[in-house]
Amino acid sequence: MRIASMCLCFAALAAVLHAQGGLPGGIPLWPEGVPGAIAGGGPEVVADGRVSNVHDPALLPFPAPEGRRSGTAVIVCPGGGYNRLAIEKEGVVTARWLNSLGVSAFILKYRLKEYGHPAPLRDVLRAVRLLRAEPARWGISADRIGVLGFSAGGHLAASAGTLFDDPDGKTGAALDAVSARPDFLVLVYPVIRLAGPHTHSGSGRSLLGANVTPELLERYSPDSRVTNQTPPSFLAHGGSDASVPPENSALFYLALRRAGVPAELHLYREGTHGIGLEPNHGPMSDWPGRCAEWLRARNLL
Amino acid sequence: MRAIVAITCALALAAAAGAVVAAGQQPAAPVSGQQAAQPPEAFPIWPEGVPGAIKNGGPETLDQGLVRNVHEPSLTPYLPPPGRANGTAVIVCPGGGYTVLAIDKEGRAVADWLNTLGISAFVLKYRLKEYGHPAPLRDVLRAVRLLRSDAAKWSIQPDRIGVIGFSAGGHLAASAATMFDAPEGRTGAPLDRLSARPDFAILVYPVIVFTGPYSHAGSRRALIGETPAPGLAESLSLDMRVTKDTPPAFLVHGGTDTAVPPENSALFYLALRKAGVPAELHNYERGIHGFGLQPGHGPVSSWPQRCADWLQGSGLFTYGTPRR
Repeated sequence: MRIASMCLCFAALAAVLHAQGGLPGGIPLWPEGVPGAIAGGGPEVVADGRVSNVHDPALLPFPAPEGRRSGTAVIVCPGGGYNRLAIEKEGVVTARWLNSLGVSAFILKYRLKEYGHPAPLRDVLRAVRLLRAEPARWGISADRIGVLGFSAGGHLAASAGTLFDDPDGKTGAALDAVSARPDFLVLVYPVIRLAGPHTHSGSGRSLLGANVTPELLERYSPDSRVTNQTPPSFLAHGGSDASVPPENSALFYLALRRAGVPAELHLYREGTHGIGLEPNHGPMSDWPGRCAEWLRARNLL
Repeated sequence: MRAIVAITCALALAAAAGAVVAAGQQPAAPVSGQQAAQPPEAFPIWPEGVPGAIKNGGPETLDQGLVRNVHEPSLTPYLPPPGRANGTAVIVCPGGGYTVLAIDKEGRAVADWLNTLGISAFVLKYRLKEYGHPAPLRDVLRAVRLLRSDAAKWSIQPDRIGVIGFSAGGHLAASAATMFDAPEGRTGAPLDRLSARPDFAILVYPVIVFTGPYSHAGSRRALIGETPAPGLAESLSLDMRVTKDTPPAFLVHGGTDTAVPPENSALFYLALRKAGVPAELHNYERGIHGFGLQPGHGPVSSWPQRCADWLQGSGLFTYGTPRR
């Protein structure tokens, strides 16, 4: 009943996004109170399919259609340089596509530059814990919860895949006892490097501040945190991405390989930043097809 | 004039609609024609005499699709059916660790597939461990020069000559892409003045590095021996040889390749990026060494579709190839 009403609620989300005003609240991640909440942070802003000034992180559920649920769930992290969230293009559209595969999607509305690290990490890890704690409620399997992210959302997804056990991600809540390790990652033109060449400096600044040390930038470059516990990952990136170069994906792939983690990497000759699931960007527009093949081969569909 | 060409192309496209390769499908089986009835004939690439030929090297053998003991390097042309050629040519370098040539599954089968795309294919029989470096390099560079010199004869464009290589053949193709101007690729023949630079390279589970943890020891041994001269192994680690003049490349590799780890492809990709060369890479999670064009290996078996997409994006092939 609850799922059905939420379903109705979010079916209209795309339309709602065009209107001025707030998003539907979704499932609050922190019903006990947002840790480190900023008082008087002002209202959340929704404009042109983008959300900014997030103070109430939430999951927006898009359950897979009844009767063709695979049990697989994906937490979708839209990009936006940790400044905003491209919640329509990289959120709602992605959720619809996942639904078409029988996958239940949960768009993550995570905190941004107003908070900086570790708030986004806490949000994504709490999201995994929340779903895993109540799989029956969402019609999903507790061991088939993935995280998908674009751009800075890819950084967040890769952070979830590498820092799931990090003390920074815990708040002392009872849910901390539940594993926050995603079962798989899908990273699309992700920001991986915050230090050295190939960096996306905007994301690093928004996440860690302007006066951050090189050591800290390295520490939060997820390729440097990969272990054999990092989940299997699928990566796609375009060669004409002038904002986040595809070396970001290649370096994460090499780190996964070094750690013995199964990984798949598709680096297209063309493909600009932020194409999301749009058609007509040449062969890279087929990345969802490659991703579906990968999910199927991993028995997740 | 332009309009007429456009209309002609449109008509041809419409006529060929039945043969159009739809996205997500495997290209159709090759049209059976003269080549099926009559196997194509190989031609020697060194008509003036093979440089550094070994006398009394014994006979070449062919057993279960594997060629051994090559002393007469050659090209075997596989041409698209009349009217279907699009002017692009590809030299096919089968793998086999510089010890044998998988001339059937990484040679003929590849040529047949390229023909379905309207691409003229030339399977290269190159010299192996009996000679070692630089004989294979000389052979592949001579093959490029020969085709470029005889482009009109083969109805190909001299600026659309690519190389494709598998495994050690991928090492050879990548060698051609990075060492096309190397002195050891020349023999003093008049053809040396022609550029041996391939216009593009397709590398399938290629051997790239000869040093470090990702090296394929067998290929290295066969090419440069157990105790190579100092620096030779490094100089044939092809990611180290990439420059801005290296041609655009397409790479594909499987993650369960225990013979040649997929890092070989990833490192070559990173070197191409560093040099500003357009590159595409598909490293699938699964895919053992030597999948060739076989179906049944999971998602990696659709790599020819990725490659056709890339060829189209590179202007080397068009879906529903217009008749010329």
